Amino acid sequence: MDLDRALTISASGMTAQSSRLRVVAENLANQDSTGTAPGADPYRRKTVTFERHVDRATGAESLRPGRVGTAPGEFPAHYEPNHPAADERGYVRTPNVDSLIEVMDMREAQRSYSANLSVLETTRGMLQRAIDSLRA
Amino acid sequence: MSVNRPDPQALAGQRLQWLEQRQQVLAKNIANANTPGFQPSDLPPFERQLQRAGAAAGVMRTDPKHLASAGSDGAVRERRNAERSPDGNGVALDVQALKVAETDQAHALALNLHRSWVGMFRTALGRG
Repeated sequence: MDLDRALTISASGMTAQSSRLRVVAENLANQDSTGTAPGADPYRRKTVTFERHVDRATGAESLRPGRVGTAPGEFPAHYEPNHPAADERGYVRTPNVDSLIEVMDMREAQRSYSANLSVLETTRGMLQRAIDSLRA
Repeated sequence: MSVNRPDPQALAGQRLQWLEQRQQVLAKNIANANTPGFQPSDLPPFERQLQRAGAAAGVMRTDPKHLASAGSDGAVRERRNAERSPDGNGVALDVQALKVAETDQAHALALNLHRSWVGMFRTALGRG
């Protein structure tokens, strides 16, 4: 039934957005995670991708979170010779996480999540009305 | 029942089916609101579907293991987008939300019409 498929699709959208939010949380939590050994790499920002997924049983085209990749890019470095991760010149490399970008990503995920949620609620209301019409 | 006028109940049923399909298409659009390069789609208007009723039945699935044919719901891509983000995504959440609300209201209307028609039958049968 089409309404069931609509429910599946909205739910898959919500799952995808929440996995995105999880990655944002990981990035923000690790925004100060430097390496521990001299010259070691700090935390590298993670990115999430979505991929299309066709449910073979119902034919519903939903989406699901794909592979979690890492963001390329230089690590910013600053001078701190006493740090355990400082290299021979005294520079410590810090993660390539920009908190502004992460917050923006978080807001977008939140907005999309609530859009999916309201479609889910509307669809549920339509189903409920159809069921109620059997009672009359 | 007269032959040349469509049966209101069947008409309400078709309308409900169309609305359910549309809801599914809109759910797909909103779920893909952050997919790069995604273009939203919508069903052709109900009048047009009524005109060519039966012609577009799609490919029948004779076995549950068959894949449903892609695009069997007859959804067409929207050409004109209200907005387009830098990653090529053309879904405007406000436009889609408006369509969801429209579909919801039309669904309530069609169901109520269906119900009152059934109520008339009940009255005729003396069980009103």
